[in-house]
Amino acid sequence: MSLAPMAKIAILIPDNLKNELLGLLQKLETVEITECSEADLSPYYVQSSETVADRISELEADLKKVGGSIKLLQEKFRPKQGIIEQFASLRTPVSEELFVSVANEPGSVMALCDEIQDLERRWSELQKTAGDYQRILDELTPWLNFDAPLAEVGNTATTVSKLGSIESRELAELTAELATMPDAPVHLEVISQQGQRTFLFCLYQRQDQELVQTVLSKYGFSEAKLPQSDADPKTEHQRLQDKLTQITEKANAVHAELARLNEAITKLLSLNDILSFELKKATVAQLFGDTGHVLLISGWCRQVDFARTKEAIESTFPVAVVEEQKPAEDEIPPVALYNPKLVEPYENVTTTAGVPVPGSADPTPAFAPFFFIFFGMALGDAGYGVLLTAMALWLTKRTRAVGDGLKFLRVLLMGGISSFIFGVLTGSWFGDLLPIKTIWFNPAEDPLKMLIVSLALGVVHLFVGLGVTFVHNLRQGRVWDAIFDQGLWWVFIGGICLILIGFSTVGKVIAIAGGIGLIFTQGRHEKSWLKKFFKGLMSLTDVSSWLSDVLSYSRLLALGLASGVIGVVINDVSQMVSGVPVVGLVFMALILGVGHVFNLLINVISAYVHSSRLQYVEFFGKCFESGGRLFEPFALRTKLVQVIPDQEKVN
Amino acid sequence: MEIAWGSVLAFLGIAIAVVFPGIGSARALGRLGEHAAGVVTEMSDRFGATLILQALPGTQGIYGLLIGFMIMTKIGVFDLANFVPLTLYQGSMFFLAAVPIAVVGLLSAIAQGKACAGGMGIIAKRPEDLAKAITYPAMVETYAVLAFLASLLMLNGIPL
Repeated sequence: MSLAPMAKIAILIPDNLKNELLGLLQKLETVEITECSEADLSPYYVQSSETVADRISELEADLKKVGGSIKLLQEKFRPKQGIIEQFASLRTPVSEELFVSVANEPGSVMALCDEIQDLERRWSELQKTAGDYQRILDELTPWLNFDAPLAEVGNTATTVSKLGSIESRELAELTAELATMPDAPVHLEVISQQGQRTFLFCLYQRQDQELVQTVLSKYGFSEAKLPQSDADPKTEHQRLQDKLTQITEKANAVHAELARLNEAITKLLSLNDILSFELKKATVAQLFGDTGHVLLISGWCRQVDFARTKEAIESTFPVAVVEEQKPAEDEIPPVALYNPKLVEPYENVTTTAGVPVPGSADPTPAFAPFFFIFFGMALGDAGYGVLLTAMALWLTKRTRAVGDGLKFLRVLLMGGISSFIFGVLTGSWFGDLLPIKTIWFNPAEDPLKMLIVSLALGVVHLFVGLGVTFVHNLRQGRVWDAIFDQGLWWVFIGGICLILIGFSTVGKVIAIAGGIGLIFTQGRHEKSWLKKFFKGLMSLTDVSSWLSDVLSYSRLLALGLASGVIGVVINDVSQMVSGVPVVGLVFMALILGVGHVFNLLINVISAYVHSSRLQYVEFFGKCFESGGRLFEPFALRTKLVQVIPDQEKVN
Repeated sequence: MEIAWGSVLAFLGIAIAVVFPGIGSARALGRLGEHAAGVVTEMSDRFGATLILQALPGTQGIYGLLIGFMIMTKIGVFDLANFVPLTLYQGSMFFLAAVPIAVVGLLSAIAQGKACAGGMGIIAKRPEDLAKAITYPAMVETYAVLAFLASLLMLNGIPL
């Protein structure tokens, strides 16, 4: 129940073995490396050379480049996303062979990045040019029937000719108005009509220019801006079209080339992870103390791992020295949670609320069984339990989850089992879908009984919470604190509980004894007698917080009933439609399938969240002291790819 | 035909149990949908996390429907052959049993929606803290659960 004891470790090793040592530490995953200060090595300390900083910035630049190329490819060729990918980004599986080959020859993959960025630049340039051509082509389209070279449109010594368009509905009026001007003859020719606009060719005498132009602009004539060309529009259009086709073909070729490179994206992803490894190593190496010949590496290691680590380092590097040091007064060790396999997944629940302070108790093993039970009660259905267990198993396999993700799935898996047990006891199989006999009792028929069960479990849960602090106090040698602050509360609340369940005489005596004890002890840290008494008396008001804490467990009943009753409703509704001829059975199956899956998902969230909340607010209130820093041993973990050992196949 | 005011009151109870928490949930989910869309516009990989957060205030509507459904079952809406008109006394009890979830469902859904909207900010900046973002709204949910429980127990105790 307590945290894993930590040892401060110091390693002395010649400078030239730095990388080998890092490789070993990474494999061991037992040491968290901390910064070695100048004082630790004085007067032999030398400032780390600039090459390290250079190496780091070089790696950062490379990483940025690789990351950029990956992003570019992924935007262009969006990887297929299943339902799971919507909720969590999965790592891409790669074979160990490929990963190692990239690690050995990063240069060729870096060259790929250059190629990709180059191709991308060409592609977007071609796209832009193609767009320009398309715009000109669009402008030319209305004039295809115009059968003179475009360059000849314009002014001569005596005439003016123009191409332009007006709104089609203005055409009749424009023609009419021009007809009223016999002194200024205008030749107006409709070339084409497209959409709402009519495209015109007009020719008039230069001397009438002003007059005609006024009339034209009155009707919204807008002159066309067309490319100058010796060819007529049709030929010009064809020429440009051919050009565009050529450009598009080129762009397609570039795109195909990119698509080909995209097949090597796993290499890029691998390189990204490899470079981040290097970066992490280089950053960690900055923490080392250096005398110019010898490196001093200090860090933290779990006490249980110390001997193993020392042995591994000293046997690999006979020249190295590994020692355990006494931490300085002001040094605060990191906190490692260390629990048996069944309890380990619940560490997630604890760390979400915070990391225990060093030297305090780890509440995880104490609440894990309760979390298990609460989850089962809140979901409370055997069918859902089976489904959830299956889902958790499948997801574990499918996502190849590790670390926190795996722990979370394990919590769900066990929640499914718990829910199955509880559902069997209360006879709930997908609501009332399967008529299997109730073993214990049905909470929907006797909610009061279930309420009492929930509240009683709550009292036990809170008592265990007190127990965690009680044991911790005893271990720290604070026997009186344990007896006064936890023991007396057990007596007092225990007595009240006895009264509530009917043993009123005995209960009264015990409760009064506990109460008096509390009055006389809770003020013991105060100086004056008056304050001691009042503080003690005031402590009894904590009963109200106990009351609200215990009542809070009624949610177990409500959540369990809610999921059960929704299940029943789904079954009822599906029953109603089953009578519809022909499609009835299909609808029924649909309602049952969708309904129960939806109900399961909603209630899994509720069950997880509320089981957690009962720990955070009620349980941790009695025993948890957060504020520590989690132990993070030096390890290299891939983020984008998942290396599959050669024995397994990449699917 | 004489009007069975008891049955009318019970139906009114069904109506408020379904309507008010439903309104609350719909309002909260709508607002959260806007927030979620905002986050996903920038970071499309946050869809799953924002969806979970958006769904949280949806439970009030479900609790309301459940209470409505349970009243319907109890007064025999699905079994019209044996439908017995209720006395005014019984009817008012059904109505009152619906009040906790109707009122608390409406208000807690909206309040929970606000807590979820705050959580969207956590998702945008620190997606790994989804569990924390969900825990704050879950605190609000407590009161919806309690109201549901009260309605349920009241309903259970009505003698027919």
